[in-house]
Amino acid sequence: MSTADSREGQYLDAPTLDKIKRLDVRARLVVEGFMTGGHRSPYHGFAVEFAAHREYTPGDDLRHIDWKVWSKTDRLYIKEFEEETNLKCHLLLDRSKSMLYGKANGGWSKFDYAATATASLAYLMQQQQDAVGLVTFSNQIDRQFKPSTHPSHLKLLFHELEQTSCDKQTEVSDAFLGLAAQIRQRGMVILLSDLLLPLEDLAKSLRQFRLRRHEVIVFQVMHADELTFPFDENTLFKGYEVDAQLLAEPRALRKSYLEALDRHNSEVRKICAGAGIDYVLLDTSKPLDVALSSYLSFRLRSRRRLTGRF
Amino acid sequence: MFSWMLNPLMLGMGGLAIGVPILIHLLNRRRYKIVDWAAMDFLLEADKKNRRRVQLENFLILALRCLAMLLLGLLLARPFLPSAMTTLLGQKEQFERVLLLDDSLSQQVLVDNLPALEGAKSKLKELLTDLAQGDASDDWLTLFLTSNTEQPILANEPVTRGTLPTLLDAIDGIDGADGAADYGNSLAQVKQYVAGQRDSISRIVYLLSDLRRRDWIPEAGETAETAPNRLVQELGKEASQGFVVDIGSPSDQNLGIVDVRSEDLLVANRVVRFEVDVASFAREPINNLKVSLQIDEQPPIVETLEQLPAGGRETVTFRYLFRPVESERMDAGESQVKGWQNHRIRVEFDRQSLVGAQTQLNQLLDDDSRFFGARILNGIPVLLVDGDPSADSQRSETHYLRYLDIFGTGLQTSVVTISDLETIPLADFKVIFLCNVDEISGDRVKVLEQWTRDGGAVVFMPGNQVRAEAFNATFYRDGQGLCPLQLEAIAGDPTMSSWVNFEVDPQVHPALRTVVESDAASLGKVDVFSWWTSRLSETLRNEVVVPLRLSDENRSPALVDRAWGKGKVIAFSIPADGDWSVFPGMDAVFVPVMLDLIDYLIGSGEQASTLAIGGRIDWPVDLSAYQNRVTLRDPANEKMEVLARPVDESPEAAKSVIYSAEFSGLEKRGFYELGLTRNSGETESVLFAANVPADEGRLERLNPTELESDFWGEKFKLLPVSGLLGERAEGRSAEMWPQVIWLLLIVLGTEQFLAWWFGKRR
Repeated sequence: MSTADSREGQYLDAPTLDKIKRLDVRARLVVEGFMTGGHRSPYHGFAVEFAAHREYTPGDDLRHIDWKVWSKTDRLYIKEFEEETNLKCHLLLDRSKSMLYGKANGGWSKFDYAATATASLAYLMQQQQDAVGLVTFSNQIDRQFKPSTHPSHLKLLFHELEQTSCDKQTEVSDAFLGLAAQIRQRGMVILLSDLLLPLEDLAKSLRQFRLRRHEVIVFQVMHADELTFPFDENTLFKGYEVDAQLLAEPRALRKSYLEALDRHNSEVRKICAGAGIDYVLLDTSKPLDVALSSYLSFRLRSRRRLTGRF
Repeated sequence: MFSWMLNPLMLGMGGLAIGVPILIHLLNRRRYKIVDWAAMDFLLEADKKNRRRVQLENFLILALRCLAMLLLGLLLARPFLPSAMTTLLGQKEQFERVLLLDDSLSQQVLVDNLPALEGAKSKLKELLTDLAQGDASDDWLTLFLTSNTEQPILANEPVTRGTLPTLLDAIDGIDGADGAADYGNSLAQVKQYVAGQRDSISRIVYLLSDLRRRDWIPEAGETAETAPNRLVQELGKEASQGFVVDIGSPSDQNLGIVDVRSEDLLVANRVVRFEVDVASFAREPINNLKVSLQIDEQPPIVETLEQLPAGGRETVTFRYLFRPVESERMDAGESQVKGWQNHRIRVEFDRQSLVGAQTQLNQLLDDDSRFFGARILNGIPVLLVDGDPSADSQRSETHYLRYLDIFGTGLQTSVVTISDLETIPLADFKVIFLCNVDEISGDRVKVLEQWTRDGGAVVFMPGNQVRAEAFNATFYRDGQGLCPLQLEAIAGDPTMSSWVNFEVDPQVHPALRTVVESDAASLGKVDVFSWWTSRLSETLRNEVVVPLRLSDENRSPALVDRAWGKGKVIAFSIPADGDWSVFPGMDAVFVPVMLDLIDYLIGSGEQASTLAIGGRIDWPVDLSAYQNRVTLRDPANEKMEVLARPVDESPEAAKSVIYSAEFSGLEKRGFYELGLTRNSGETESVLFAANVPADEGRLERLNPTELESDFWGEKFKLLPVSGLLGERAEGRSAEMWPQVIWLLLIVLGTEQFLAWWFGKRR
């Protein structure tokens, strides 16, 4: 067993870090009137930055009308502000047994891939002076590290990632319910999981976070085998989390399996889209740095489009 | 069901083989990878959805594979449908009728006043006319004759209205052979033919036979496996149906001339005896049967056989004195030779001497006569080579021998010197005496040896002019030469003060018979003063006879006899003149000994002139005397010509002057005349006579119990010739293997297609 020091960088994938470290992840929080009369902003020392205009509708607070625009255009617009503050990011990493798949062939398991992504995102947060925390879960919240910006906090998280093993089944509904209640302050919740769980549970869990106005990003990590089902010979499939096994001709089942998978993933995307959640499918056969940087670039472009409108 | 298969066991194997694809399927299911899988729910859902379909697809492919195994077994089992069913299926019955017709001499026996062969031909033509009703070729004909084992006279000819005239002409052209039938050979040939033909057509075999016992029952020395009836049983396995058609007559009694021979030397100026054997194959005795012998066109000589017992054989003897050719009137167009004269001798018995019911005892007329080609030597040409010629004839080596050609001996002596021997044609002579000769050229030695090998006779009589070394080098050659004796030295008393005598071997040699029979002691009274001592080669001891020795202390050989190919070699140890002994001067001893010796050396000329029908002639041609073009005229007066060739493939044979003219396939009975042309242009002829086999007259038929039992196996039925037309032929059952192959291919093709199709969808 290697020492903590030598394994510290296990999930710090150099190429990945290199790609994403220049990007800043800003939580896009739409703040409407959080600066209410009489309450001082709890966020001391932080600028409140103008974000965008929107057209005045009856009932809006007259104090937020942009009179300069009115003088020029004779039209009423409300100023919206983006609160630039220290982001609190919660990384939720699935450590159920199903995340072990991929290890047998000597490559990366889904957990390895997800953990690397988690580490990369944590590192990025820290670079941006944002607080990042880690929650590992299976059928319960196994370990929880509250978000912190302390330099040694990252090491703590990495260490935790390296020590984490995958066991137990996936069972999130109650776990996430509790977690959502704990996280009072709005922040970002990034879920990294293979999402091989009942979709109602997932939907309920994600809804909990959205109700509390957290920004949620879902990274679904799947192995290439799970996505393509490349098996040809007679195979005995033994379930990781399900106590079942199946001796089958894979070619006979491939089409139906992929259809079932596709239905599941479509449903997941629908759930995410309905809740305003970003969804990213991570294929463990694809380089992680490309996948992450691709997503982050997309997020950046989306934000600039919104802020640069006027 | 299994009676519809030729190899039902194979179907069982196919049934067992069904287990093979099943076994492979089960074994495959035992071989699998193990994968720990996370997305199990999706897999289980997919399995639930597809389980039935996959099971059905797998079952279908497995079933097709099992069916293919079964069809393979069925294919090897060779199923067939009886022909009745195939006709119901619309398949037309096609037949090839393979006939073997016995056209041997015994078919000349009269059946209802017609030779059996003619009756058979007539019925055959009726059958063909009946078959040739349509234009479509449902019937084909193949016809073999027992007289021709090389190939059929009609091979797979369609039988239609259009082809019928040709077929009938071919049958009309069958004349009948003079020889006996060889059923073994003929049946083997038919069997080979039938087995070699394709199976899709029904083959019916007809054996048209007169059911003679001699044709069907194996002779002594023939094994049961090659017996004709066994061959018919095997033929039955190849044919779909078979018939043995009885075309013979039930009457089987016969008389015949079975042999004509002479054991005498056939020489002019000597009485020659001819012995004629008459055989009875009848069940009653015949009395006072007249037998005649006719020489050329002369009036026949008739002898009466007083009694010929039933089933017996008697000999009638004829005597005749041939004159030398000079005293005979030459027939126009016949060329005669100074060597011999040809006489055609015909022997027959007089059918008129059979009276009343006795005529029924002689069913076959063609064996009532027999031929003998007599080559009568005008004289026996003897060459005397004088190795020590003398102006005084009485002192010459050949003086005493010359006077042997007295009247009645038939001898014609010619005297030459050693140098003449180098060039004189040896073919002109029968016996050569080498008197006091010790050396001739190497080439001439070879010619002499070949001439002896071809039937000549050499007599060595060495005297005082012979040098032992030269003689041994030329004629003994370390035991490889003509002379069996190696001369050593001259022994005895040249002053003639002492002498030795002859001692006769108790087994009296033919050359000494007359003398010994008349006066046994006479040879012992011959005084011999000098003689050649000699050594007999150890390797030749078993080949050489020493009928006469000397009474010296070594018991030296005086006369030695050995064979050399077809010829003989005699070696004396004394010369032919009177220098060393009183032998030549004692006429009472010398003359009979020498005449008997010459008779012995010549042998009988009869065997060489008699041929069996179907035999061959190999005649030696001395190219130093004759041209290499040789002709042969057959009994029908048709002429053949061949060129004489070396006797074998060896280089020595190619260089030799003695070649061989060969004629084969001599099928007619009667006289054959071989024609030779001398280098000088004169022609010569050699007469041969071909006769039917003696046994052909034995007409005894197979007995009824043999005909009723399984003599010919299950397939062949016995039919009278009248039933030939009425018999309905059954085709062979149609084998179904082509259909099975198609089915197998369809099954395999479907299996492959489905395997691909199901795999593509998966």
